[in-house]
Amino acid sequence: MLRLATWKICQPLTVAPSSPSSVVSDLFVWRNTTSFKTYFELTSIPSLFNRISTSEQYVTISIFNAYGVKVSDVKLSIDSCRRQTLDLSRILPKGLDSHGTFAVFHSHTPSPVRSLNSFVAERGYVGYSYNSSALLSYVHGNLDAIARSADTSLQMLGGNSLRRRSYMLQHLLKPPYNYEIFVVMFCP
Amino acid sequence: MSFFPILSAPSCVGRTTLSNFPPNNWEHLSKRPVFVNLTWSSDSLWHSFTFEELPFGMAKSYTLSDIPSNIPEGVLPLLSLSSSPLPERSEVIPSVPRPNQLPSWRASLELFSESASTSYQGELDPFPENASLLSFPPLIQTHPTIKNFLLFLNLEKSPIARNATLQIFRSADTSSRLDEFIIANNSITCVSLDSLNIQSNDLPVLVSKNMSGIPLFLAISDSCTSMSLEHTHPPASFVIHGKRWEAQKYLKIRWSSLLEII
Repeated sequence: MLRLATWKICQPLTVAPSSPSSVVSDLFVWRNTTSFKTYFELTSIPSLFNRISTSEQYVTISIFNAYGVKVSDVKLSIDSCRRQTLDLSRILPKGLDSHGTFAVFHSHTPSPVRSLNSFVAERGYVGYSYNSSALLSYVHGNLDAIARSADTSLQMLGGNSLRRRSYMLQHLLKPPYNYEIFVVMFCP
Repeated sequence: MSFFPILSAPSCVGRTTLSNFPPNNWEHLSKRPVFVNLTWSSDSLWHSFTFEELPFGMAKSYTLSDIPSNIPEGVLPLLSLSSSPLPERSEVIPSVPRPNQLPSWRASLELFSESASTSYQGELDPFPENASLLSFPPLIQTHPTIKNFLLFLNLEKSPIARNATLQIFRSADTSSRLDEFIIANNSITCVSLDSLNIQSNDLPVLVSKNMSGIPLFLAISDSCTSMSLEHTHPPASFVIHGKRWEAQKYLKIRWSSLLEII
């Protein structure tokens, strides 16, 4: 217990947003090359909690380059209780590298969620297509990486540790396949 | 360390890769070899068979045909790692340690064909028998050359077989049910989704009042040269911090009412 305490006390892996009006997103990896295209499955999470007005039926997509610099915000309308497959190549600014990250911020945290001192979080599904295949290979998000407050300011939610932490990938990398590993840094 | 199923699906073979090293450097520091076990339920009992040791630092892949055991056809094969062999028979699923929390100790759960492979990092722990399921999967691919399957994965402590009903609706049209399936505990239930006429802008909602589990969505191209496998998260993942499990409870009550589930 004492040993674990030196890793855990005052060293959370992620922190809560400082503004109660914030909405939260993972930082998803986009790729845009001649071989790979990126898609995101947009759904209105607030509309699953209660009926929302037309003016609240939107998301803001923040796009970052490979160095974490925000290059654009794109506001998109989405329907309640529907799915909309977003082709990222349609909203990526021209002149970017082959990869970067993006966040999907919902319009608001619905009142039933706010009353629980919780925040709505987008940790949904990215699909990657390869060459001419019609099939998307899906990967889910699972990280509360970045928050956007009502004044549109952004907050990185990664925690810091006093000690050096390691992550060992429990997956075999086998020949003859080619692997690419993307590491998303989300500490302030 | 949870259980790690060997998956199965049409046109595919399941392969599970176990690792005897932790995913991080602060929770689990043992460097000992561990026993590799195969567990399954049949005849209202749990059966386990310890078949080899995995040295520290190693990872190894297993298909069902790699394991020297005659397990009954159709049961869900569950691999596990433990510091001592599991009991050969038990009335409650054997306890296996869970040394890691963040991240969980996981295996690569894979399905492969002659020309493609897909996997995710996963583990399986027993669900409470009184648990329910609510899921909003946007993972069904509507291109005509792609086949879609739901692989419903359940595990419970009891080996006694039982069934439940899984219903599927369009979330934007809660008045009409698209279909209803029988799902079984301690099993992987495979359902083809291509006859449901789900459109590309439909957000399906899956509900079961009497059984929880992990809904996996498998997509396979006609030629079997491309595959995708991913699961949905429980609705609690839509929110973070605060009383997030209360948010899940709120959603289950709301959607149970909207769908008028009997």
